[in-house]
Amino acid sequence: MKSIDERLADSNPVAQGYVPANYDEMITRAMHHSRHADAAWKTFRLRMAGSVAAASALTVLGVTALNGAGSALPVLGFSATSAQVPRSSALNGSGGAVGGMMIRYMNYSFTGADKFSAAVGSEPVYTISAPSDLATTLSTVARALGVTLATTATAAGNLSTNYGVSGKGYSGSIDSGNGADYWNIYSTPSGTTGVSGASGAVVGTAVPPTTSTSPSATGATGVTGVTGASGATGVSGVTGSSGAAGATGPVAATGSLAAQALGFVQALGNYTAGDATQDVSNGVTTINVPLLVNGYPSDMSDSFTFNSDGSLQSASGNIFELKVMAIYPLISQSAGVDQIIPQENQFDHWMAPLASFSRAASTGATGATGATGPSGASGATGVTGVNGPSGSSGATGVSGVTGATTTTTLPAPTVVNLTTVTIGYSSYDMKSNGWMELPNYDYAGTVVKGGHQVSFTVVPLPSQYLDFATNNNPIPMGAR
Amino acid sequence: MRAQRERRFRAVADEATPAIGAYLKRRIYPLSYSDVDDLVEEVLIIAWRRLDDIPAGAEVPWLIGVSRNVLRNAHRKFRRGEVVAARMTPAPHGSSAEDNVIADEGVRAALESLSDDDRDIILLHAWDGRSAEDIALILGVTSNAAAVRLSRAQDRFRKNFSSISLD
Repeated sequence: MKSIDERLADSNPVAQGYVPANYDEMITRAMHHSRHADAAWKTFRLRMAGSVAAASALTVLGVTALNGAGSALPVLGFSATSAQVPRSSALNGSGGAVGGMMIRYMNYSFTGADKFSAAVGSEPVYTISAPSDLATTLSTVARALGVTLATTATAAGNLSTNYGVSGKGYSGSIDSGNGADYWNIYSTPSGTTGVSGASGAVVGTAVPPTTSTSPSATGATGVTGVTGASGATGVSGVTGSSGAAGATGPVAATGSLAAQALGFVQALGNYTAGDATQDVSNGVTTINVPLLVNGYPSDMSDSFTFNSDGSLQSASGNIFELKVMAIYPLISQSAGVDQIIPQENQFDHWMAPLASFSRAASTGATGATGATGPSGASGATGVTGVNGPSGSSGATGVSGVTGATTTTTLPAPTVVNLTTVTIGYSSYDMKSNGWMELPNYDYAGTVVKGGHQVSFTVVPLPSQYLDFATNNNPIPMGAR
Repeated sequence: MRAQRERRFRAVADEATPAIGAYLKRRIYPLSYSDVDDLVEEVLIIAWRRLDDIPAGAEVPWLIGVSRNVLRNAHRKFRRGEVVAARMTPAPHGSSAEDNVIADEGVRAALESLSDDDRDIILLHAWDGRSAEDIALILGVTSNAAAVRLSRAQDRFRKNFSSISLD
């Protein structure tokens, strides 16, 4: 008889584990998924601002000249499309309970901002779009790479349009997101040749014994047996597992494969390529080509993997088109540090919300002064016609009670020493105009107590051009 | 740099995907098994984005914690859609995803009698093979608290199982 613990274990409905379909595609899609495409990055909406005049006069005048005299820059406003939890939950401080889940906020403070440039600047903001006919686009990509996809595109779930091929050839998938099409093409070699069948056994034909004519007569020699049938063809060999990754890290890509990769990038869309890197492991060369936006690194890249014989093993990347929407002023890199917490709190919601913590431990409001008491009743009229005494004054109302003191426990601050800042571009969703590529300041630094590296991203447009007003729904830390 | 990051991600995904897939599959009801791959991919996207935050040596429990929240969101969305569309009869109150996939009547009844928190913690241990330390990371509590909660939940489960079996 089984114990209760054994019966509980036996009730496991998925005891045999889980093996995903198309695991490699899943992995590559995940790696090319922008951080701004998740639910926390909500739809951008664009509206014209009446407050542009409040901008720094010098900067705005300069930028206005670039954008055309008299034109006002739009405010880029984030809007929450689906509130997950009410904002009031965040006001509980470091441990607000939401739907039974605890919210855990981080409380960062930063040093090192003084090392960064105090100069303001300006950079363009782009709209980004991509072809919507995914099947045709995938075929175009295949042609640019010089490979042939054997079959016609068929829809495969919500995420991608897949090609499937049989035998030796290339498979591919494509899906759309973040304003760009993300494609993936990979060789699908046939299985290795099966082992040869075993030779058939030699079977001699039976020959009846010859009746001897004399006791000494020798029987006739039997005829040679026919050759046995060939053995069945062996089953195809299984494809070997990938070898372990080599220890060597990526280096600057040079040589014919790098030139080929850069040629692919040009053929795919004449994109501006950054410095390509290559990584060689077990004879397989992977070349990563960052795709630049306005000369800066972006959240897009192409990647090409070549077999040892130089043939293309797999490739993945983005198809997109950029259009300059306007040129915006940028705050300085040192000033951008002050925007880390407000912006992370608006987008990713894991920072300690400033608004709530500024209210922490504040004294309650003083109680209102008590209302004046009611006037005394008039005295009764005297019997003899003499005026009666005046009524007494009403009692003074009691003072209001002092409000209770609010107490909130702040999470322990994590001090980060910022060491570097770089400019880049990444994609953001807009409600009415599709996706945009906006400039970013990417800060990196070290946690003072702990020593590990952390990084933060800021959209360095002056605050009057960014509207976070409606994107204020914190999500639990656990959702990350 | 990117290649190094990709290698680590690949290693994390290779190690964690079977566990998070199984975790999600066990609890996917009332969604269908065909949704599991999409949810796993959602978890992997989060893993890629937060790769630097995943504690070394605790990748699997950390990602099960993420899976737990991704699954809750998926269930919430499903139920919201269910109410709006009124296409299906809502699941009876108190019926959990796990309750619907357990064939052993006694085990099911004993689990049903537990609170959601107790059931969560017991099944993380019994089905997903998670230690108290892992459970602490998944639930965001201290190891000690997780061990105590696991022990108490197991006691309640055994007690309920015995009383149900005697009825």
